[in-house]
Amino acid sequence: MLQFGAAGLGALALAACSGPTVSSGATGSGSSTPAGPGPGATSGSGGSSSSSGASSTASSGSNAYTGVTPAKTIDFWSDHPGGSGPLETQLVDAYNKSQSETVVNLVTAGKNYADIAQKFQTALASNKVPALVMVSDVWWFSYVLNKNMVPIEPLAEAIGLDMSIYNKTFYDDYLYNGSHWAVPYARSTPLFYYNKAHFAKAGLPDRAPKTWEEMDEFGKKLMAANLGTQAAYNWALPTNYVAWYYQNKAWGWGGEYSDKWDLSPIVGQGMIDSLTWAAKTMKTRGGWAGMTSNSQSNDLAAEVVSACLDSTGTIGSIGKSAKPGFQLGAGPLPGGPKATDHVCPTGGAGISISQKSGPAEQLAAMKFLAWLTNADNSVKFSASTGYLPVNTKADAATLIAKTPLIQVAINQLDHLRSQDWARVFITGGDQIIGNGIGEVLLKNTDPATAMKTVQGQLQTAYNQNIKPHLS
Amino acid sequence: MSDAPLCGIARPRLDCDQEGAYGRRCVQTSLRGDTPNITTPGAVAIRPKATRRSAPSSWERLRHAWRRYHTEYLIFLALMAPNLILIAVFVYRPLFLNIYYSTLNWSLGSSTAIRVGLGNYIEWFTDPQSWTVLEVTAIFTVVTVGGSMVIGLALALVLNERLHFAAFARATVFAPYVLSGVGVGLTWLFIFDPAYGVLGQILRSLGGASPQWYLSSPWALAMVMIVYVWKNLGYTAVIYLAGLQAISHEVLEAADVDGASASRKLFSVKLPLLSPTTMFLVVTLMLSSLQSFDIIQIMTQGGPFGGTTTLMYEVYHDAFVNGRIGYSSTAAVILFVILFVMTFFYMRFVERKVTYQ
Repeated sequence: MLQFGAAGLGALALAACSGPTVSSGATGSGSSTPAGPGPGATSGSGGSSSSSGASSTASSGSNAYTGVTPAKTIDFWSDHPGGSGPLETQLVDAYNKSQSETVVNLVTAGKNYADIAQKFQTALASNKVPALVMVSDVWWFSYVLNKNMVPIEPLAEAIGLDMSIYNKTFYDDYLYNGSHWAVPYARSTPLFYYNKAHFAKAGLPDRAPKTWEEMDEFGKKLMAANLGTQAAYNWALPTNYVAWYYQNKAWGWGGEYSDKWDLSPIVGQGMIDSLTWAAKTMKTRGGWAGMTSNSQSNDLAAEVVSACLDSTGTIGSIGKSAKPGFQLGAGPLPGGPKATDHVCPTGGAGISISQKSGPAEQLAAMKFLAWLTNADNSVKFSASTGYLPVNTKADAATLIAKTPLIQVAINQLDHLRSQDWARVFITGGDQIIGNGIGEVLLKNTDPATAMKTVQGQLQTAYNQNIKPHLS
Repeated sequence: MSDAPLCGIARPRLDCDQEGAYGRRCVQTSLRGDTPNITTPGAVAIRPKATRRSAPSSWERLRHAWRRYHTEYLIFLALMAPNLILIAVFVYRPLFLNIYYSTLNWSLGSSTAIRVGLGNYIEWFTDPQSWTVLEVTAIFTVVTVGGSMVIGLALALVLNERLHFAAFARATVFAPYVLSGVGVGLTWLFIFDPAYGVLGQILRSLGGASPQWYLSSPWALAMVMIVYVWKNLGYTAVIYLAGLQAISHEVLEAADVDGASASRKLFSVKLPLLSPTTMFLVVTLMLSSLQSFDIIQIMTQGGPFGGTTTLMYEVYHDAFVNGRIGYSSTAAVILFVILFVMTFFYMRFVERKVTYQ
């Protein structure tokens, strides 16, 4: 019997380490127009209201890190995005040799961003948390909302780092309540990847389609060319970021998932029109697209499809897994009938500094972070993975010489758009929206019905996880 | 301890305080039922006094008991305390904390929570998705437990015969069980991939087409069940093999003498004698099926559209993907109740009908 009890509840045993402070009654949000994150959000008090003195100084004049000695050792939790494990080890070793103040421990805290998030959230129940944590686009905001991280500005000031060296779009993605909460690191955008040989055989130009209407033509030609593929193009899985890529279509058709916290755009005309188009692309309905079973870029490398969207971070891995002679092409994301510019979302991960680690570790962490993302290391990291250089001083020429395809991503930098809050700031929003898109693509569910369900689920998630914490 | 409240109640009688030291006698008096004015106001106020006065008597009783039983008592404590403490800390504490958490709206990672009473339970029972989860859990459990047992028994019957390389054959059957679920999941992920997996290629070479294992719910559930049964078959086979080998030769020989056919021997002799093994397997397999997580997490993440989301997986998904610890605890409590009822049913009714040799 005891075993039975333990069986059902084992998963939460860790969460039982320390409980929350409970307030009863109605939800906490007293503000009728809550402040929001992201560029343009303006709010009075900077920083969190944490107990650590160091973190409440964002808007005050003096710097709480003055006189703090950096910690002797700090932990850095990474999932080594883009297969960067060996490179990160090399970089951390180099840092440890370059100075004697702090030893950085590189910890493999999972195989993807979600793993790190789980591990970090569980660690929060204890007092042993790493100073540096890799945070993906869909997780950082929830940490900030729960006051788990410290703002970057006072730390940058303490070590004399000019934050304007970072790509502004990427850095400002982490702006909330007047402070930045992460430093950009493995930042990416989606790219349109294609098999050059397939395009040539189908008589297509050696470039990505400019619009999705053009892709309709490309798709038909690719299907007619008898290339031995299963489809011309593969959509991503609902559980594997289809909602990230799909923002491109939503925006192209004049829609969006949300306008700040307003969730009505997800049932708007732009979304419905784009989904109506998307449903018709499916091969099962006479179109040219399928859905991957695991990874669309693996399918491209295995030559079972001719094109797909995937992160810039896969430039390196597609090349490695494909057969010799495979020629990978890449282009900017196609536009839609309503918009062709600024239809590419930002994405990828940054690194945050945890609130619980304390001022000495935070200071040591910031020093390491400044070094890790300096111009030289930014080039090394980008060249190895395909992630975009986050440091504007990075020597793009060296990078392009090493990884030519990254030129496409760099050219796209000026045409990015920050993601819709419904996907990145509502916990679980990515999968809620992804499942709705999947319903339309795979089951041919009426787009309006599917999105109505999505809107309801997003609203519940917002009410439960976000609204009570907004100040 | 038992003296204290009784003395408290009996206080009016004791008011002749000079006899306080004989509190025990007063208890006995009151127990006879002749205590007047039990509800006199102020009785509680002097209760501590009465308690103190009765102390020597309980102390004496304790000493008496101590003298009589101290050796046994010490052994009892030494043997039981570590277990009881461990069970209390690692089983009951999480259990009761989870029940408590299920009454909260608590975001993962947040240091504050809002009390919502039974709100999470109402939400769970009114969400149509919950019934899908229960259905998936039921199908998964019944098929994996039943499948492993039937195929495991068949394998055990074969392995029980005098074979060449018997030890090798047994090791081969058992091997998948000791593999890591994550490794198994990853390997089968590629085997099942309709685009470039081995299974798809075999099916295509036979003129068929691969089912969409990852994109359609019934196929995805079938896939994780196949992998789960494959991985756990060895365990069932080995336990059944042990059960078969424990069956006395005399019984089987007696059946032979009576001219029983092989199938008659199986159904009328072996299976009834294996019933304790069968019941053991039903319980342990049900436990592990309801707990199964690794293969689902690696292969389908509960998808497509919740088609492989079992109750256990929902507990995880609500907590770590949707960040709702309170709601997740609610699902955990519901899983606990289901398991509790099933175990109770098993202990109360099924175990009695098992044939022991």
